[in-house]
Amino acid sequence: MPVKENWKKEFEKWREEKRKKLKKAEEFVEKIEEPIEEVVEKVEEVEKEVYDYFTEPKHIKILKIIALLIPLVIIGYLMVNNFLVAQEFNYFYDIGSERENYLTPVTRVSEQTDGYREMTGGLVYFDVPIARGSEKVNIKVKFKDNFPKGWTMSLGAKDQEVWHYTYNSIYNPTLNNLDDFNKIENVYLINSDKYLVPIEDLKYERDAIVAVDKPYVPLPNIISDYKEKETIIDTSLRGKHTFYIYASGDLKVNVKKQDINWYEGSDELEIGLYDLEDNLIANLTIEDDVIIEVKNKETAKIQEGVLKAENLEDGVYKLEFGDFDGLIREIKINTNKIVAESVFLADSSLYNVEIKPSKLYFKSARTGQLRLITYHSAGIQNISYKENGVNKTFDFYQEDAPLYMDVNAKKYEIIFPKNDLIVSGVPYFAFSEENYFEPFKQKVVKIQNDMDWIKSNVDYLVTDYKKPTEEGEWLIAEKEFNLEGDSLFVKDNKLSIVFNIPHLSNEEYSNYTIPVDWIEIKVYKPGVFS
Amino acid sequence: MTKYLFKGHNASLVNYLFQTLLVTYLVLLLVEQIWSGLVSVYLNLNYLLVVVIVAGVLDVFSEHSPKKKEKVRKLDYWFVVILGVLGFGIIKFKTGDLGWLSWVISIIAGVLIILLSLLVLEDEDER
Repeated sequence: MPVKENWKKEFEKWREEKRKKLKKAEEFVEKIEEPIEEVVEKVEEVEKEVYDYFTEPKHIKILKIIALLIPLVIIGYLMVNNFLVAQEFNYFYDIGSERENYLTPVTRVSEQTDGYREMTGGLVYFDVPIARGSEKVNIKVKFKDNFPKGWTMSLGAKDQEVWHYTYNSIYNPTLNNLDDFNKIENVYLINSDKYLVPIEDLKYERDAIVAVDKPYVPLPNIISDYKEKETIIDTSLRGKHTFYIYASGDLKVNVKKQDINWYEGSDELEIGLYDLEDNLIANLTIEDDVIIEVKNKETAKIQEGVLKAENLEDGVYKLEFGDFDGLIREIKINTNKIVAESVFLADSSLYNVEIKPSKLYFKSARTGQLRLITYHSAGIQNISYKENGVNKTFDFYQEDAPLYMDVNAKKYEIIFPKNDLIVSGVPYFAFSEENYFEPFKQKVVKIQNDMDWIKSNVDYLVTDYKKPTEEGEWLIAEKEFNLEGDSLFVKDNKLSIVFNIPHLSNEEYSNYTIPVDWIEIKVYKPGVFS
Repeated sequence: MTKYLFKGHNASLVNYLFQTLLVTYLVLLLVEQIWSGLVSVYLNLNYLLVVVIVAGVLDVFSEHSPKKKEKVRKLDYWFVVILGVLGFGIIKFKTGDLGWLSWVISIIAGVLIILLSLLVLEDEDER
């Protein structure tokens, strides 16, 4: 009995172990079954692919390789064009065609007639496509000379994100005879008593008068008699004015303005303080007087604002008052050195302010002329002045046309009894002798549309102006912009260009529209190997 | 029985061509969005789009081998996340001028890309 029982026990034990082994084996098979299936599937797929590959006709294989080459060719083509080779893109805007009008806004361009359109507004824009890495843009324009006498046209390229363009004259009959003068590159010698110098050396020509049509920053002077002292200018000035000041440390400018509301619209006064590289340091806006409509008979309220700048380095700064339909009634500033480029004296009953004589002080470095103009009979007056202390008078007898007052290399103090006059010229103007200073080693003036004035007031003239070529009754003007050198602003691969035709902003000359036939544009992009 | 325009090896060629052109078009479009002008100045992408559409239409009417059920792997989830981050980056780059709103838009877009892709993945997995 014990043997039998023992055997049974042994048998049960063996059977249990066998079952466990079997179960383990089953579990193992179950576990590896799935991966094996996957491997088998993969092998089958590969087998099929290999089979397909070997059974695939040769022409299908070649066509697949060609299909693969398509993106490679496109990418290669783009790489070569973008980075390796030099390119010249040519665009032809046929303004006179019926199909497309490239000029905007459409309200400033006429309908197409006789193969051309007419520009009817002062600012007319078009865009130029600019490829990445482009260097230069050359623009040719075919237009007709329908300008009133003394007016010009320039082409501007956008150079800032805000509305700002760098301009180049493309039509200025005053400059058509520049070939009569000696020149080095773009520097013309107007005053034969001076020496011709290249543009790099021009800045060092002390006391020279340089006429320019592009930004040109002369070397500033160091002013020894500068004091941080309160100066009050209580002469009323009309609209836009540019002052140069000498300042150091903290600057505070209190400004009072009064709108005259001669024209519809709001009249904010924008004031900006700039360094000599034209970087804005501080700005201020004095808001409109809330009178939008024309109310020129009413005396508007006086509004006030304060412009502050801190920690200014010793030196010359530009203080600019933007154009607005009103008067600057008072400027209070904590420096004793402040001069203006030109002034529009406005203490006149015409502007609903008390008439009081204005006094201007300046020094002239050479013989030349002051340009005086008024647009109202109220501005006709007898001007008295002191030339190196000697009393003299000047009869200012006409309106709407400028009169020129001769000046010599002397000190001047001029009294304008009735005002309503715009005074401009080569010298800077101060409102007192103490305020006067020469901000720069040279005087830089804008090129005036009057060759006689240029000859008698200017020493050097700097311009890239080229006389337009004639083609029948049409003119073809050409201008080149350097994208990097002129710091032009390209957005979405487009450069905005503007025709600036100032006379078309003046209602009096609205009939002098400018016909344009075409614009031809060349954009040059250098390559790695060029 | 469906009548195909292309069968066998010809169908595989059309499918290959369509895929190659589509990827090329999408890559060039992306490049143009990021560095505008790099492509459009030299190549009008609309012409390429027409070719892609034609190839796509031909592919639709071509024979396709039956699709096998694919198991979702960990790598697929990583791919979805990478796509979401990439989408976020591109939208942020293109809407950068909008300031804080740009962050909101690009984050929402990135999250949407991830969620929708996961939805598609899970859906395929369930099937």
